[in-house]
Amino acid sequence: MTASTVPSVPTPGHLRSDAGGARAAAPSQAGRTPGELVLHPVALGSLVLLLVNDHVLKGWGPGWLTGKLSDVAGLAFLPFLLVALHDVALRRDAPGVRSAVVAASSTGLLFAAVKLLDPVRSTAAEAAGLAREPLDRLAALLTGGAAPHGGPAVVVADPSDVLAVVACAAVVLVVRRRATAAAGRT
Amino acid sequence: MEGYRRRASRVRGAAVGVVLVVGVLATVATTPGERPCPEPSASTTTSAFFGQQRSDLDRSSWQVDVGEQRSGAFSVRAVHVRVQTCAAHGSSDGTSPVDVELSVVDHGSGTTIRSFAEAARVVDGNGRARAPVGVQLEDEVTLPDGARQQEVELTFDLPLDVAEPVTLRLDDFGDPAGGDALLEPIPLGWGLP
Repeated sequence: MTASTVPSVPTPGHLRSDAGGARAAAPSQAGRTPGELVLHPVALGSLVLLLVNDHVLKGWGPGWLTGKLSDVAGLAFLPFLLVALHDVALRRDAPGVRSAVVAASSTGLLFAAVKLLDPVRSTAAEAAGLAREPLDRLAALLTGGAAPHGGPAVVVADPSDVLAVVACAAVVLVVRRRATAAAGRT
Repeated sequence: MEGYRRRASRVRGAAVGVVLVVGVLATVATTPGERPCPEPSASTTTSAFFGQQRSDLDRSSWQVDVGEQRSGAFSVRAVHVRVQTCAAHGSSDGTSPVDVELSVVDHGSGTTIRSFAEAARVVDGNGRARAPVGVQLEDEVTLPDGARQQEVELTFDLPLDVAEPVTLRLDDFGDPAGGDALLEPIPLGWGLP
């Protein structure tokens, strides 16, 4: 990133620092839709894989592969979701590399903590159980199925799952690429 | 041109909104595996046959490899058992449905596979026998040797305090050669054989 790529008129967005100065090269607010990062093919692909895997493939053949696919797809998509929600909430410049790194690392660290630390895992299981309870009730109501049991969700304690955090890096690569492309256009 | 851009922008904004909502729901409602059964209270009954207490992975169904059991007119293979986990909780009549799927071949009994299936019994360790409360048959297939094969799903209402070993007994009443009265009892318990 060179100084020549920074627009000459200062705006609040330009005054914020960002990793590698990527924000300075990010597209301006004009002509873009806040949160549009979730429409990137990597994000959409991860979301589709997560939905198909969790709600179709696991029903056909639950096992090691579907468990790992779920982790990888979820860890790839969640940082995109966080960055996009942040973008929608703030409605400033396009998300920069720093936002992506923060989203990716916080997702990865939280996931690793859930997989490796018993207290974090039990708290996460309680939270997941509470969060999905209304959805389970709604699904039971719509399908005429059995009412949910309630209580915490089961979170499998498998340290090998932590390898899947590599997928969190996808959002950083995508955002950096977009920033580089935007810098090339200016 | 400006109108087109505005429309495109609106469509893009709507698409973002849809993906964000679906994404949040997908993240919350991801399948975290089965939930553990609630701790049984003093007034509820649990048995070794039901519930997750016997399996860390909590698969509510399993396959029993019986090879091909043949006795006279009928042979049976590929027995698949499906139970309701946490069955002890929320069941008021003290029973829980257990589905048993099996592949039955009729080698010329002179009767129907349905009659054969309806005569099936599940017997538990205390000698209590239960007849199927539901019998469903898929379309019949004629094998090259002329035998008839059908996939059968039997539903049994088993008592929650069912005692192991739980076995499936199939009456070979259609055996024209008058062979053994019963096929070997098929064990249905967790993780068997």
